[in-house]
Amino acid sequence: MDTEMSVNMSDFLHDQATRAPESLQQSYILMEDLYERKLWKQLTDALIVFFDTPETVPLRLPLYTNFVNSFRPNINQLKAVYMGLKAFESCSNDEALRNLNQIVNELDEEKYKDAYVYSIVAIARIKLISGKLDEARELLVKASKIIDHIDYVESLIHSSYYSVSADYYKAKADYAQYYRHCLLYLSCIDLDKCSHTELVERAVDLSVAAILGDIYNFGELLLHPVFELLVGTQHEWLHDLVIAMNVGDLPLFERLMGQINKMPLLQSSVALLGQKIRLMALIELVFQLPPNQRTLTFDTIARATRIPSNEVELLIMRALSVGLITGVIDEVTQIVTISSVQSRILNHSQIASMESRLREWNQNIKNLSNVVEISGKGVFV
Amino acid sequence: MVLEATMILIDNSEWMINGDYIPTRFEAQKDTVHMIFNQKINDNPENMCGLMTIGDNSPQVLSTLTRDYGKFLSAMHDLPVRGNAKFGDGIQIAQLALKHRENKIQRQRIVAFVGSPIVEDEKNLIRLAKRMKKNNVAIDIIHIGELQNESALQHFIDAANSSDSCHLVSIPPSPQLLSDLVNQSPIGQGVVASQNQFEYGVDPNLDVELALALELSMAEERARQEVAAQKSSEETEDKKMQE
Repeated sequence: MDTEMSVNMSDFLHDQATRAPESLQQSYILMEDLYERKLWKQLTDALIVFFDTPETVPLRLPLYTNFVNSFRPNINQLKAVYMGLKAFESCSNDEALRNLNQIVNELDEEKYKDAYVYSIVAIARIKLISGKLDEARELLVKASKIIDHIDYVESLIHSSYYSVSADYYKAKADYAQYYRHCLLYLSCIDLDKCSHTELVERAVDLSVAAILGDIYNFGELLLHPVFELLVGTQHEWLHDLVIAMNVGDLPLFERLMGQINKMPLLQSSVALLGQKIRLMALIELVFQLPPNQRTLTFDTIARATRIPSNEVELLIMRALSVGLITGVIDEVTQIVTISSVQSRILNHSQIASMESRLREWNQNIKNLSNVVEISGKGVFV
Repeated sequence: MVLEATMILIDNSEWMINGDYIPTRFEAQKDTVHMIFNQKINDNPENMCGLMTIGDNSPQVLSTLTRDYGKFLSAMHDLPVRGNAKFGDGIQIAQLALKHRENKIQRQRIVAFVGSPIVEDEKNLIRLAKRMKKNNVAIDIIHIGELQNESALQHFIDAANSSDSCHLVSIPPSPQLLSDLVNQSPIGQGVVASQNQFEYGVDPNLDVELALALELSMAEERARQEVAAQKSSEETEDKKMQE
């Protein structure tokens, strides 16, 4: 029986090789050899290389259904599912969904948690494309719970999960969650293997999410290599806008208003952007002050944030409510005493300013120790 | 009857899914581990065995030195087969486990299965082997599958060897059981010797009744075979006569 099966596979592979381009024929010979020697690990690796080659798209489905399925129980199930997904790229969404459901039903959820999660995340992606957001959400929640209980999670699973989650939040226009999941996705993948276009697209989406979302700390984005890809493209103004937002640069923000109005998504939220950049300007103002001089008048804040004095209190209350600062407002004397600023990821200029502040603090301590030494000579004898 | 503490290292890397050994490399390995455990435990009433894996991207001690077969079985149950093997790290952790043995009189031995490509640098392996030799740790390697490792492992064993205490057994794929092939090698010497010493593998001095029963059974089987042979020869003669 086994010999008969081997002969059938040999015939099948020969038949497929004749249909394949000349450059791929060597792959079929290698597959046949490894199959006959039952070297499943090496065969899996050879198949993954084959499936990752762009010109194999029309050849994948017959190879998967007839060849890979014949020894699928013997190989790494996660890799088997990965090959399945690659094979179903040539199918319609409905057909791919049907095939994936079949794979999920055949998988032992307890034994192959990683492959099971990868499959249901792939199903969630198709549901998302089909516009069935609630069903996709259910699958993502289920996947998240399983991932939490897997002791060793491959980056392939994490990247797949975060990618679909990010797409879900993008569809839902939940900017803060999209920003978080998209950054997590980018941390799981090898950026060198992604196309430049895809990365620029991600950078644009991330920038918009950072600007529109309930996010007041742009450090992760500013320091990410993907963000720098916006420079030299038609979206360079977004790069400048995020930098302006981060430091509360109102003049630059006003210069970019023309570009902002060209993007409908941002144009509809101009008032929100104005409030946000003023909050960032307030934080930057506080951050640059020495810790012993963090008592500000409403007029100082009004000048720095370019708003009328009667709106300063509202701005401070907003900053307090979102946890950007902690402090006390004295409405009678029109001053605000700030005790702390939200911790944030610093850029190089902010780190330089912190360095100078630390040097100043160090010098003050030296001066104080000298004063104590001189004043207390009589006591220390 | 050497008094030994043995750490057995199982390779549970992804290469163990290969079916070139019967039924798979991993299952063949498990059978051999059971055989080695029983051999070591039966060799001396104070011998002990431990178990650890070197695959799954990081070595892990599954069972510290024990004589309890149940503990050993439960440690081997449901092991994942994934990732890559870390041979060098595994040897070092095994040596550490042996160092903490209760009975310091026991000699130290590591029996390692290697069935995946060795990624470690050969110089580092030789340095490790010399350290093992210095610490009086004997090493047996059962090498299956990836035969491109052979020269590196041979150099490792040569560096670790002290008065022929270390062995490398490379077993190419074959229809025979891996446990049987290991049994016939220097690593399985104890079992082979004890089984070949007496007819039917049973010492008549220890179990007289079993030895007699086996003798009787053998005599009956021989008689049955003779009758069958006689019958078949008679049948062929009858056929010839009829023709």
